Amino acid sequence: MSINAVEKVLWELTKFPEKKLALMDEAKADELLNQYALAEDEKDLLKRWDVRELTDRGCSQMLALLAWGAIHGDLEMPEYMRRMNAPRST
Amino acid sequence: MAQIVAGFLMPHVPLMASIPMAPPENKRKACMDAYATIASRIRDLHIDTVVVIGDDHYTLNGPACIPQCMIGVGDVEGPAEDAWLGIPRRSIRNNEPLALHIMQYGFDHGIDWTVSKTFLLDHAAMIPIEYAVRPVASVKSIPIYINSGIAPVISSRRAFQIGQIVGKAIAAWGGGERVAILGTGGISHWVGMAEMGKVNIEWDRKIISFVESGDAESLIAISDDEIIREGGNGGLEIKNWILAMGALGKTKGKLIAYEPVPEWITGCGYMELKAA
Repeated sequence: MSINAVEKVLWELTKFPEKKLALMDEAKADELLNQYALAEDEKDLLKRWDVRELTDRGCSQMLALLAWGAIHGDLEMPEYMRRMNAPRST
Repeated sequence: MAQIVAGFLMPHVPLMASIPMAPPENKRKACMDAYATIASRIRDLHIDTVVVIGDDHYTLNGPACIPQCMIGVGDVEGPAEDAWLGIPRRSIRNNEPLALHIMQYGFDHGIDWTVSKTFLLDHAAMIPIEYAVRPVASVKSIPIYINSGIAPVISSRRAFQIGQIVGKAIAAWGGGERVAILGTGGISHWVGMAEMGKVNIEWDRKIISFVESGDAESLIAISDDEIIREGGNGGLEIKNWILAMGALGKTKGKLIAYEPVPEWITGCGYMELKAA
């Protein structure tokens, strides 16, 4: 239930391919995220890849970018930037 | 006695290797020529050992452990990001006796190093080694990383102090090494931030002017908040430059090249530090 756990998830996604694959699999994503001390809204943010909200809450932008690249690939960087610059949902 | 005969400051942008053709030809050439100039200086000055000052980007250590300063005293290899960086992983020659001496001198003079016996370098050290060191045969590399990348970052004052201690350690070493300090990273860039791709030329020029005049105190006086606002989170890597300036003592900086390269999301500054 902290941004520290979010950073732990993101960092491990960049290091452990099996965790990356689990998060990408809808059937396994919850099982993976339940292994961490995350609040429900944090799990939701991670599943939706709301990098803007995650970084607004204090997650390292550098780590968010690394993890995004690990999951989505570098070709999806424009989408990362679109999300980072999207208007805030209230 | 070992002596520090030069210092060089340069970027370590990973995109230079992963998407080298992204910028226009003139910008690419200016950056690569600047690395070649540094390699030539290393060769002409008969430098045999470089101390490479870099920083982790959450590519090495995770949130479980964030070292403030780390030295590689044994086996060194890199890059960690060989899957996408465009540089194959390979061993890097360390100068283990001098690295161990710097480690012990640091312990004896107030640096609580994190010590790596098997240092896997990321792009922070590998880009400078690849482009500025590797072209010169048989130069050894001692990696030192400070935490200028991940909150909570090291203070600029502390980075300078560590540099001073490293400089004294090298001066106290009985070997005959001719050493260069490579301060890497910067200048302005916003890694993963909403502004990624922006370059603040005016701020970059301000940093360069402080280095040119050897004014480390003015660099240290810039708050982390100002650095992030004006130079992005990547701008915090001027702390690596500050450490290099601390190691050299009284210096003046000479600009080798400056190129704002949005395609590599960075203001790329290359400088040589010379004794004042």
